[in-house]
Amino acid sequence: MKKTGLRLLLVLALTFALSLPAMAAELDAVTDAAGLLTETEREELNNRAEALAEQYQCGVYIVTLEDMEDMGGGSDAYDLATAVYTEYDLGYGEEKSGLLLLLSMAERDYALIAYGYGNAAFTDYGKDVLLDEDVLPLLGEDAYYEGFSAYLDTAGEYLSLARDGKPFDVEPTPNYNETEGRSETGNQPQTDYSYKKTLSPKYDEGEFAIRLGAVILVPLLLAGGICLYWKRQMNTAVSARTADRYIPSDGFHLTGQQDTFLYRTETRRRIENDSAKGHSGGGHSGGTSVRSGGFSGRSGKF
Amino acid sequence: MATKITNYQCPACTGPLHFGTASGKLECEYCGLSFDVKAIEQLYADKEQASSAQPEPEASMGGGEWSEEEAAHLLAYSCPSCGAELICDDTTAATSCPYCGNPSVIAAQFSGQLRPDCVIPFRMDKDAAVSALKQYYKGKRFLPKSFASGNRIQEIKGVYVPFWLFDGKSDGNLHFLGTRVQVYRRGDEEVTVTDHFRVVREGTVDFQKVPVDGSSKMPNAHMDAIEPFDYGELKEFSTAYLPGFLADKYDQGSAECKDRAYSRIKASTEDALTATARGYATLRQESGSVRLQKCDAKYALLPVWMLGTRWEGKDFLFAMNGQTGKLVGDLPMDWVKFWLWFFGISLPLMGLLGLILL
Repeated sequence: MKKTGLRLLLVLALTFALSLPAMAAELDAVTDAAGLLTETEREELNNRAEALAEQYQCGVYIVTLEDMEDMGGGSDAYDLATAVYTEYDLGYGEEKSGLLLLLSMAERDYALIAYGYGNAAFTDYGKDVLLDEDVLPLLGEDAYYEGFSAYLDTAGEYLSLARDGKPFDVEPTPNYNETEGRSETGNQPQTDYSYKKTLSPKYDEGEFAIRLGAVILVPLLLAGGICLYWKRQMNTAVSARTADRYIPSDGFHLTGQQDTFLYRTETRRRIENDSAKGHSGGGHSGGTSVRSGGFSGRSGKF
Repeated sequence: MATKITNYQCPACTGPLHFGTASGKLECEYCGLSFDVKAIEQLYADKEQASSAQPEPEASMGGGEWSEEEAAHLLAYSCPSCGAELICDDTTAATSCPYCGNPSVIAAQFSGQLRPDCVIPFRMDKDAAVSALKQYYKGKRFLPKSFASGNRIQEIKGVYVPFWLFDGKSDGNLHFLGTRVQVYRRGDEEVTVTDHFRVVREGTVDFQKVPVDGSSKMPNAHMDAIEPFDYGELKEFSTAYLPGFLADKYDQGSAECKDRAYSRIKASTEDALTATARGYATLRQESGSVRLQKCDAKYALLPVWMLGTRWEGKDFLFAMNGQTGKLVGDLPMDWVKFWLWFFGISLPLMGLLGLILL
């Protein structure tokens, strides 16, 4: 009962914050207004998120909401996330560096945004892998604690790599040197990224096979088509199939036509987010695309 | 059966007359005079009337060396010019004497019900046919090099081929299953909605002069492929168009040839009805029928040049439309050239694509 009341208060606070100019308010690193976690789980995740922020000097946040529309934040989860980040003054240090994962349960919308140093540590490719491989599959099955836990684990790994000057990306980020002066604290996660580093900088093995197939098959088909066309010119004594040329100009009369609707079928197919295509780098040129306002990220449904 | 042979002769010098493809008249190659077809027709009609009281020579078999089966299909005639005996099969209607070379028309093959309704005279002469064949070889990348130079034209003959021209009306009724597909996006899902329809189309199609050759000697594919003929030049039949060319009477009647015409008419009717079922993403014919409401046939002689060549022990047959000059036939393949071209195109393309894509 107490938890529900707190949630209600938070929703009201968020509503107020988004509809009015900035106000002095604070959010925990893990704010569960939608009530997806037990208090124990929330606290445990909150502690881990705060530890990451201290260790890497970059805030890592989770915010869950019941309904985005009721928040007055419009229908775009990305905009809502940036508004929450700004209005609640999230982020670490003067640079306001951080990473925020926001969920709105009524629409099943998500948004993942980064700001400040978070833009360097969490590249576009890194965010895609984090979401599509680690987090969204679990959230899609309503395994929220596991999904948030994976989010924090991966965020920690990325921050560790970024601190070593090698942010997780399809290729080294050219602008990363600007952030090399950060202090090194804490233990670095021992994650093996070698499988990702061995990938071609242009495309992965699956795409290479497709391209190789195209390089071989397209010329064969083209040459076959041309040669068969020439071969057909060698044999011109061919029986006629139709008598079209013997139909006078007004020789065809349509005397009846009937088009009867029988039944309808419907099929659905889940669309992969374009930015998530090619988890191993396909479609990515590396680095982070920072939008106006200084945020980077993406949104969608889970 | 009348078996009289007509040998059209020049009224001035009695030299043999040939139908001139360029002039459209009967020409004497001895004195150079040319005569209108109708004038010669009238002249010979008068002659025939005058001699009708006299007994006609009977066609006879030329000896006992023919088997009964062979003899049943052979007839012997006397050449009116030199008196030599001409042995022809029972479908030959116009030929030339192998001894004196004079063109002869066996008028009996065109008498009564066997008389063609119409004829299209030759427009292309022998030289045009030879020239068209040489032209036909050009641009054929897989033609063996020795074929064009090494093969010799074994036989070239201008033949009036008996054709049945079918006029008719078909009545079609087709049933299809069709689908209309709508694809849209809802959230992060692609939704495909497919509406299924039963589609019925009924209609009639008129056909005019669908040609089917009535000669078993002529390959059907060749005769189909040399179409179309310009029916604007169809003329009332006269044997005076025949001198200088070969001609056969039909040995496959209109009833026998009707199936070939029906097959083509049916396909055209189905195509025409199917084309009216628009707006469907897929259309699958479930059932249907095409009936011929009426089908009348006219008997026509159409001009065809037949050219036979021989190369490396094999015979190759070509046919040319004697009116339009369209030539068709099957040529031998040089498979080494085929594969050289195949890899000559594909390998450089692979290299180029490899540079771009890999």
